[in-house]
Amino acid sequence: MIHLKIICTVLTALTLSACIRTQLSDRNFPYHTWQPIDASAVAIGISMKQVVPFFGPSRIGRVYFVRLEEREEILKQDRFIRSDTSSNDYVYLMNAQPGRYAAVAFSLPAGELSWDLYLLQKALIQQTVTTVAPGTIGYLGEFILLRGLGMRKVGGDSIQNHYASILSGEYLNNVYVAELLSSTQDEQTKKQFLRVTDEELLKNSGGAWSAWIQQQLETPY
Amino acid sequence: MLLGCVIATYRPLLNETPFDPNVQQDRNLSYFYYAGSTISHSYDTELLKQVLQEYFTQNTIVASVPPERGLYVRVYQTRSPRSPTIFENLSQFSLTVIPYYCDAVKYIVDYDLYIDTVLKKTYRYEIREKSLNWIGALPFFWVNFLTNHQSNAFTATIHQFIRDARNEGLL
Repeated sequence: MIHLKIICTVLTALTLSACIRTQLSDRNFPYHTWQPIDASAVAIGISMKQVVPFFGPSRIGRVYFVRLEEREEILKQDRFIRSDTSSNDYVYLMNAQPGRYAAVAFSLPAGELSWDLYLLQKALIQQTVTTVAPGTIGYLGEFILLRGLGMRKVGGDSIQNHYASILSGEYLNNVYVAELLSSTQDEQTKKQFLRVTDEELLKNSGGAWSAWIQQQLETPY
Repeated sequence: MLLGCVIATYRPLLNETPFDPNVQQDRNLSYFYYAGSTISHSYDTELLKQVLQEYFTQNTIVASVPPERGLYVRVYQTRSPRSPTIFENLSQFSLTVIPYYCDAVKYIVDYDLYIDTVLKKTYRYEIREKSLNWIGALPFFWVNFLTNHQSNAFTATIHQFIRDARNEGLL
């Protein structure tokens, strides 16, 4: 009887130990400050919200970017880069290489270990294309999106099909087409983005990035 | 809790492609690391630096752009494109009550080698995962401490890249 109790206790302890999981995220390191790794490193930000009927817009926490490198069909890149972090209404990729970037998809949690993927249409991807010069912070814009029908039902354009395949390893649950409701890419929203980035994300301690942001904010429209 | 239901091992093994002291060089190397989607991003970044420093003993630094003169490596690690099978979906749907065995490429690691800002070649390696996903494996989660971890497989690809680039005369 005692042996049985010991065995049950050990098995229970082992089982419970498997349930302990440490999740590293910005929430665990609230005082993490972002700084450029060198003088050329860039950061990229975007604002994306998904409208859910009857519930209003919800913030998107994970965005997939691509760096546009020369190839036959420039929007069909083979490598994607997932965003690093999010703060307030913005999603960021930090310490990236300078160059041209676009957003191609975003995802939302759909359970313990899976995500629903939302693919942007070609026209919307083209709208997000932004050149980010060395040492600067690029803003791809503000987009409000509606969840469209599932990809299996409607199919997608050639770019969406391409990224549906490329991103298929991302523990995906369902794949949807994201439809654009509205977008804003003017100087006012860009400056608001830079202001919030410096105050909330960089905590005014982003080194050369913070200095660059202050310079941009002082420049009149 | 679902992560505890997985027992996994990864290849390549470190003993298949260990550190080769003959390839050690007294040179500088700049590198950049993109983790397209891996979970252990910061850990792999440190690991990459440690391993590269074993080979390039003069100086190994992170740089976002290639230097005008010298070596530069851009490392890209992403999850391999793979659609889940019916059994995998069933297993996930049943919260791993239905067991599922997976033997597939999990990650792809690309090493873009630049010399004097010119891209010379991209070396591509796969990290393969063999895993059992089953709720009955929970009490045996500790077996994962005995299997080959994903970071060891990543390290093995670094060694393989250095060896392949050296054999082709690029390093």
